[in-house]
Order: sequence, then structure tokens, then C-alpha cells
Amino acid sequence: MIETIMLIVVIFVLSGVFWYSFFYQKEKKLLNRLQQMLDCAVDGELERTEVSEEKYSALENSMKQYIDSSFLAGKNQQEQKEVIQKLISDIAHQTLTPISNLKIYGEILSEVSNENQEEIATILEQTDKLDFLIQSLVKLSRMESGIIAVHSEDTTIKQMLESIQQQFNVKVREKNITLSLCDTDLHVRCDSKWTVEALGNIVDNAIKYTACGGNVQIKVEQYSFFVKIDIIDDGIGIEKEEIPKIFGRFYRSLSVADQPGVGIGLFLAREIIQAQKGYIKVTSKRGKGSTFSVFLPIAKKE
Amino acid sequence: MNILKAVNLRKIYGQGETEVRALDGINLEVEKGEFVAIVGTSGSGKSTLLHIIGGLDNPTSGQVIVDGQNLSHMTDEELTIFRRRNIGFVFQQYNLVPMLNVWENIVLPVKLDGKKIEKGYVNEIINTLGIRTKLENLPSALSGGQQQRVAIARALAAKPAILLADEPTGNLDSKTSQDVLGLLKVTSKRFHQTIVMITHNEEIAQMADRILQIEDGKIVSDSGLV
Repeated sequence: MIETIMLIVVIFVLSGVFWYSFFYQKEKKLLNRLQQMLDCAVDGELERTEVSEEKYSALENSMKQYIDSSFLAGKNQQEQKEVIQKLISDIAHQTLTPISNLKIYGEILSEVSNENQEEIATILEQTDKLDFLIQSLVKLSRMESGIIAVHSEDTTIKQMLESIQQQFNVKVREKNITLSLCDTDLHVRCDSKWTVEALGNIVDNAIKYTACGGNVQIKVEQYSFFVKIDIIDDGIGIEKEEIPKIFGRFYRSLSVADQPGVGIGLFLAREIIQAQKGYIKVTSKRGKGSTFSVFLPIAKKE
Repeated sequence: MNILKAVNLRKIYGQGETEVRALDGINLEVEKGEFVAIVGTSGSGKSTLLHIIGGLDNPTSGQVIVDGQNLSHMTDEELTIFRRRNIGFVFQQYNLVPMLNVWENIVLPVKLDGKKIEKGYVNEIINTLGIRTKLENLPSALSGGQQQRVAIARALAAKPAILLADEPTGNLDSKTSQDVLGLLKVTSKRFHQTIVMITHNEEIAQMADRILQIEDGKIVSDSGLV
């Protein structure tokens, strides 16, 4: 009697263990399969592995549908963005010709007419401002829409600095500012055309906000991963609270409201430098001058 | 998208006359991909804030919500697992495991979670941070700046929702600090990593997109780029 009971108990226990391990294995297999499915989905390579009445297959199908629809939504968004950028770029292009015509006729008018010289000068100044604004917008929209990609390559800093010096020769002489460059043989990884544009915008600001007879200096220093290009002026400086704002689009300090400008130069400069895996830092003291430090990735020696 | 939200955080030590309000009603929101610096003098409450945001300490009152998850509703065990998966830390003293080499240190949090290591992603981080040649070395054979870069790589490898840095360059000279922070900034942009960094150094704070100033447990200014 006891033996029979013992036997029944043993049979129950054994079958319990069997079923438990059976379901445990099954669940583990299913979870592994699901993990694999999600891993594939993360990599964007989800394919239906089977089509059957099994729950797993239905799950796989739903997952595939979800991924497809979110991919589509992302694509739609991208397309809408491109449409807007195209529009901006079209507007910018179509305005370039009328603006240059305005400039030419304004200049002719100031040459032939002796009256209203003050008003003509204002018109010309405002046209210049509009011109700069539109040109900057063209550059921005081209960069953002990827029409002009930034091609980083091994570039000598010396060459870029020389081209900047050439670019600002006239402006510097007009204000009697000393623009001094340091001698350097360092190389960085960047797109020289765009970088000159960015550095040019910073130098242009430095000259604009420095009094006649002042100094603008460009210094270069090597770090382990970056090269620092300092643009140092002894101009009006920037209030500490204002420093984070100056790179904002269309931001203009109240203290320079009387100076011409549209507030896009520094924004563009920062975009260009960031697109090249670099960054810009500013230190400044009101009334003492500002230092803009541009960090660009150093070119690795082959 | 909001990745971090702190609602009316208070932390009070002691009682009665010896009461110290380390945090006194902090409200804060951080967007995904933002690089935020919290500046303040020592004793201003910035470290307490970071510890509470990271779930290393509990607030006296108030709530912290990281990636939609309310930390105050979690048990200690849940918190440990949540931290490992979603919060990356970079400390002033690096906190690398001395017996493990650089590669092992970097992939440790991913391995602890029992996940497959995404070799491509980890290698990209390693290349960006310039530690490819050091992978076989033990931490003791590295300079401070290199160790901190390894710590940053380790924090990034787990793809945390948010990376918290506590005076990451406190032990480094100014030139190395600039290098490490520059790399942190560049990697954060590249991998869309949300970073909250605390520092007492305003020049370092300037590397961030947004600067919060904290004084006596309160946020006194919040300036960001437009």
C-alpha cells in the first residue's frame, strides 16, 4: 500500500519537474527569439522569419508594421523639412539680383545727384545690410540642407590666416587697427573655405567692435586633440550674462544697437565650426575686450 | 522631449536650529540632447542636486522624473537596475576598476546588464575619444586625462538616457581639462547625448548649451542659447 502511494508521489514529482523544465525552456527560447527580433529591429534589419498561425509570427508582423510606419513618418518629416529649406533657398536666390540692382542704382544716384546725399547714404547702408543678411541665409540654408557639405581635410592654419588677413586689409587700414597674426605650422582637419568664412565672421566682429587704433590679434595653440585659434581684441567687450546669447540667431546686443549688423555672423560661425567637430568658446570683459577661441580637431600625423 | 524633470525638490539636513536647506524648491527640465551645466560655489547644493537627480540620494520632498520614470516610486533594487540602464556617471576621481583593462572597464556596465556589446558603436566612441591605443592597458598606466576619457567612454557605452558629470575635470590641469571637455562636447553632439554637468568653474560651464546657476539651494539664473 505504502509502496503504491510512494510510487504515485514520485511519478507526480517527476512529471512536475518535467513540465516545469519544459515550459521554462520554451519560455527562454521565446524570450531569446524576441530579444533577437528587437536587436534586428534596432539595426533596421527586421525581416519576417516565418509566416504561420503561431503567436510569434503575428507579433513579428505587428513589429514590422510598426517599424515601417515610424520609418515612413520620419521620411515624411524629412521631406517637409526639405521643402521648407528649398523655399528659403529659392527666396534667397531670387532676391540677390534685385538687391545688387538696388546697390548699383543707389551708387549711381549718389554720384550724379548733389541733393539728398544723407538719405541716399542711408538707403545704401540698409541695402548693404540686406545684402549681407540674404547672403548669410543662402549659406545657412545651403549648409543645413546639405547642398554644400563640409569636407574636412588636412589644412594648414597659416594659409587660412593669410587669406583672412588679405580679406580684411582694407577694413583694418580704414580704422587704423593693427591685425597681427602669429606664425604657425600646425595642421587641422577642416574645410578651409567654410572655416575661413567662420573665422572671417569673428574677425569682422572684432574689428567692428574695436575702436580706431586698437589691436586685433590671432594666436594659435596646440592641444592633444584640438588646435585653438584665439581671436583677441581690445574692443568694447561683452557682458558676462550676454555671452551665451551672442551665438543665437538674430541676437543683437542692446549696447551695440547703433552699429550696423543683423546678428547672423556668429550663429553661422558656430554652425560651421560644429559641423567640423569643433567648438567655440568666449572670454570677455566689458570695456577690456574679447577673446573668441575656435577649437578645431588637430590633423593626425600619418 | 523632456528627458529629466525635477519638481519642487527639497533636501533638508538636521532639524530646528541646525536645519540646513541644501535644496530649497528646485524646479528643472532638461530636453533630450541638451548639454546643461550647473554652476555654484561649494555648499550651494549643486552636488546634492546631482546625486538626487541620479537616484544616489533621496530628496526630503519633491520628485525626479527621468525618461518618464518617477524615481521616488522605486525600491532600492529597482533604482539600482534603472541607474545601470539609464543613467551614466562621470566622477571627478574617475572610479575605474583597477583590475580591469580599459576595454573591460568600458563594456562592464553593458555586460552587467547581460546585453550584447554593440562593437561598432563602442568602437566609434573609443575612436572619438582617442583611446584606441590604450585598450589593453590597466587604468594605473594612464594619465588623469586618459582615465577620465575612459570613464566618459564607459558612461556612453551603455547609451544612458542621461549622463551626469560631477566636476569631471576637477583633478586635471587647465589644458587637459579643455581637451577632455572639448571631447565631451563633441561626443554629446555626435551621439545626441543628454548631459548634466556640475562645476564651480564658470569658464568650464561655458562649454554647455545652457547654464544654471545655483545658490543656497535655489536656481538663481538659467541662461541658454536661443
